[in-house]
This record gives sequence, C-alpha cells and structure tokens, in this order.
Amino acid sequence: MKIKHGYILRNVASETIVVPTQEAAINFNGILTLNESGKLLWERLSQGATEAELLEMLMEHYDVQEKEAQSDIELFLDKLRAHHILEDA
Amino acid sequence: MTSLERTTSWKMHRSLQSRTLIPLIEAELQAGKQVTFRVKGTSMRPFLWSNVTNITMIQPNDLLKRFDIVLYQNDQHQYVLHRIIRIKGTTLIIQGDALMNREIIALGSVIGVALSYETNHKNRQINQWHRFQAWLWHQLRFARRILLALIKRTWGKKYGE
Repeated sequence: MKIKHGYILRNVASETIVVPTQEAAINFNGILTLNESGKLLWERLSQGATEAELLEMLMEHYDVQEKEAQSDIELFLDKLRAHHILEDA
Repeated sequence: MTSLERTTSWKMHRSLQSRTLIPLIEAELQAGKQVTFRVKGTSMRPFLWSNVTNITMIQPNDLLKRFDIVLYQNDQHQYVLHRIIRIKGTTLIIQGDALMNREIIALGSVIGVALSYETNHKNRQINQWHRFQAWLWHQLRFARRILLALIKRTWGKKYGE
C-alpha cells in the first residue's frame, strides 16, 4: 500500500501536518497532524510498504512490543483510509 | 517512546494553536486555494462565534467590498479577522463587529476575504444581504455593548458561550 499523490507534509512548530495539495478547497478543521512515529510511518508509506515492513521499521526505531506496534499501525492505517489518502496496491 | 506517544501516532489538529496554523492557511490562500478554518476569539460577535463558526476564505481580488470580512496581518504581526467598514482608495478602515476601536490598514495587507461562514450547520454566504445586515449592525454601533450583552444572554448557549 502507498500514500496517494497530492499530499505533502509541512512542519509547524513541533507538529507535522498533512496538507492536501491538489484539492482546490482545504478544510483545516479535518486536517491530519502526525507526531514523530506517525511521520516515520508516513514517509515509509509514501514510497510504498507492506504492513510487515512497517512493523519491522517501528520495532527497529522504538522499544515497543510487537503486539502494541501492530495495533498502532492498524490504527494509523485505518485513519489514513478514513481520509482516503491510502491506495492499496 | 512512551506508550502515550505510540497510541497517538495520528491525531486531529484540534490541539494545534491557530497561531501556528495561520501561516499555513496564508500559504494555501496565496496558492489560490479556498480554505476553511475554525474562528477563534470573540471580536466578531454576533456574526462569528469563537470555536463554533467555520469560515471559508479565498485570496482577495481587487473587488473587496465594504462590509466584507477580511484576514490580515496588523503592524504587530498579529493575524486578525475583522470587517471592512470603509474603503478609501487603497486604505481600508477595519473594525471587529464586537469592538469599538478601528484599525487603518493598507489594501495590500489583506491575506484573505470571506466567501461564507457556517455556524451550527447553517451556512451563510457573504452576499449583499449579509453586507446589509453588517451595515445595519454598524449603524447601531453606539449601542453595541448593550446589544451584545443581550444577544449573549438570549442566544449565547447556542454558540457555546
């Protein structure tokens, strides 16, 4: 799966915000912000990645149980799907 | 990484301050986009309600009209969302609907102009009818404090006040 085209990350203060670049009308009330691990997942996903690859990456970067990392990734992917910004390969 | 961080690898922008968000809004307006965001602050009551009203803006063209709502950066580099009450060439006289003081700004400092606003799922266009209502409110400006207190007491709950 992969992040669709037309989204960029912008750093504002300590947060990273996902901004849709191709939409003519942007609603800032529904916009997505990412923290450090969210940004990591996003950057990996923008090149395309499987869930197993994301899990491996999170486990490498953070001291986290596999089960917890797995559920976080699923939560994250669900959120991206809800915003229609993920395309399943 | 703490477990708190882990479980918030995504979140909505609500925690973001408008101060950090507005430069982003400005950039999108300059790129020709139409942007919608939540209004903060009480200076535009009774038309716009803090944390309740969503306003939709575009980059200003040359056709700014009297009683338009505009976003601009003032001399203190603060972003302000107020109303044009007079246009004199390239100078604008600006006032918040709930305020008594005015500001004089250059036409060029306007970043965005409102197209519409939505409060409690009611969408209203900035059209001649809105400008007429704003004109009427402007005529009653000397009784503003009393009227605002009455409005707040009567309808405040509806707008989270």
